[in-house]
Amino acid sequence: MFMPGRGFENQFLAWTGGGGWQTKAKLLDNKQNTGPNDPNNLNYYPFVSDPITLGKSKTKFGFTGGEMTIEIYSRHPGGTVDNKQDLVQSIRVFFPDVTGGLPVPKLSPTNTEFQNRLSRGINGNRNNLGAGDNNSGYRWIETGDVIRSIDLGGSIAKGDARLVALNPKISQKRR
Amino acid sequence: MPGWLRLTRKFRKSGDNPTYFDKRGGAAVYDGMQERVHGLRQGRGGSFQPNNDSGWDSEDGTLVAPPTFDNRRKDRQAKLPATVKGSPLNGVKMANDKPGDWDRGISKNIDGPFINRADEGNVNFETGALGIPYYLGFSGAAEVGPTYFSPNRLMPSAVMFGGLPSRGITDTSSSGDPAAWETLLFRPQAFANEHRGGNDPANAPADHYLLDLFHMPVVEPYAISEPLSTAGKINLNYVIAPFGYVKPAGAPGGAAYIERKTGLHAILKPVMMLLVNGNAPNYAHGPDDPTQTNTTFRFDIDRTATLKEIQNRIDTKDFLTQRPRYVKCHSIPRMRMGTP
Repeated sequence: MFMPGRGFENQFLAWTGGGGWQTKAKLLDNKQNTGPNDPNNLNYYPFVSDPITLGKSKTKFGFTGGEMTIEIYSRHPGGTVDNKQDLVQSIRVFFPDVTGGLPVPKLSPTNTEFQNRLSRGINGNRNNLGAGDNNSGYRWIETGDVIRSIDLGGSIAKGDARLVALNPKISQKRR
Repeated sequence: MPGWLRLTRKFRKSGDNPTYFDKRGGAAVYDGMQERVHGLRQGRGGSFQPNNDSGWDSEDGTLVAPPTFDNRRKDRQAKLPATVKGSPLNGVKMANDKPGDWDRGISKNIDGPFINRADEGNVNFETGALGIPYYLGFSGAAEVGPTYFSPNRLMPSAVMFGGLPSRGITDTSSSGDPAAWETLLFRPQAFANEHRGGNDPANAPADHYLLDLFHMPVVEPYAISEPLSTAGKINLNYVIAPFGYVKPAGAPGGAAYIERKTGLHAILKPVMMLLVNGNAPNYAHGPDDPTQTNTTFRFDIDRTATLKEIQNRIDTKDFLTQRPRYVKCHSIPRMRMGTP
């Protein structure tokens, strides 16, 4: 599982305690290895799960959904942070089960290594996730990928993102 | 602000059915065998590769129901769900089933549920490029320096709050859930019950009374001479007794003997009204270079006609029973004859 989108590319670090800002997720280098645990190193996309191995004969796989809470904190450069005081917003989302299974993803013919997608901007010369690399992320989605999303199409939001933006706690309910 | 919102929000208990989020594209698409089902868009509204909307993605919903054909600008789409409660989103609506409130992006910038973002200024006059401020996309902004920075541009008046949801925390008149696509009403209603927050007694007080809580002084430059300075305020109730009630026969527009409308003319002079025909290509979010079209979308205010309506309100003593407020008066655009 990964979470693409320019908003997530270079902005999000999490307070892990102990004196520094780091990401709680894994940092992967272009060999899918854990990258340097350096909060200033944004070359590696962090929101990636462990790989899931499927047999060659499989054409479908199941997805049982799950719940996820996204917490957004205000960041105090160089200062101490209180997790409770500085929690700006908490969004709890729920991915429903997929009934009947999903097609098995195919390996991208152009980018077998996920990290390479991050360096493939539209001009081919965007090689990291720095703030100045405007076009990074154009090729994060490739032919053969399988994606399921939830969006603001629930009966409360009806697509109006303002309602999510102004409430400090958004709680998605199971249906 | 989040602090008091947290105190006032009443959350539903676990197990309640209403949701913020739902399956992208509805159950049939989410549970289907289509490979990619998502609405991920770049910041400026363009699709991610490997392709644009061509069947690989579930189509976005629309802010307005297309009149005859879908003429949205495909690479600058509003970021919307494909469906709401499983049904295609074909035009956003308020709780009363009337068309919803949303913001329009300047030039080719996307439309959507924004909060009337403040104008931070743009001095992009790049030679060789398009070179017109506000008309370039993600890389076309040139930040203003202290010479041009203006706090009054960021917040010219409290009417800027008109982009905020009016019932974004809870809608006590219905389910208690927030009301989507409904913002504060700081304009006159075209017809009864068109929009909550107007002059409908059932939904009193009107939203525009919130404006009484604010005063935005003119501070740049502040008046050098204090006597006769109004600190930026212009009185709608401009009649000067007794001369203002004396109307010579045959005076144009029923004008009084002496009128004090100069300030109103001045404040309406730079105001323009955006009017986009539903059949306009790209909903007028293009071409990127505005010099490449002869179609007019921004119109001057017809000051004579608009002030005549204000005069009618004065003549019928409407302003004597309700507080004068320009947001209650219709602004009338001057349609230029001959333009397509």
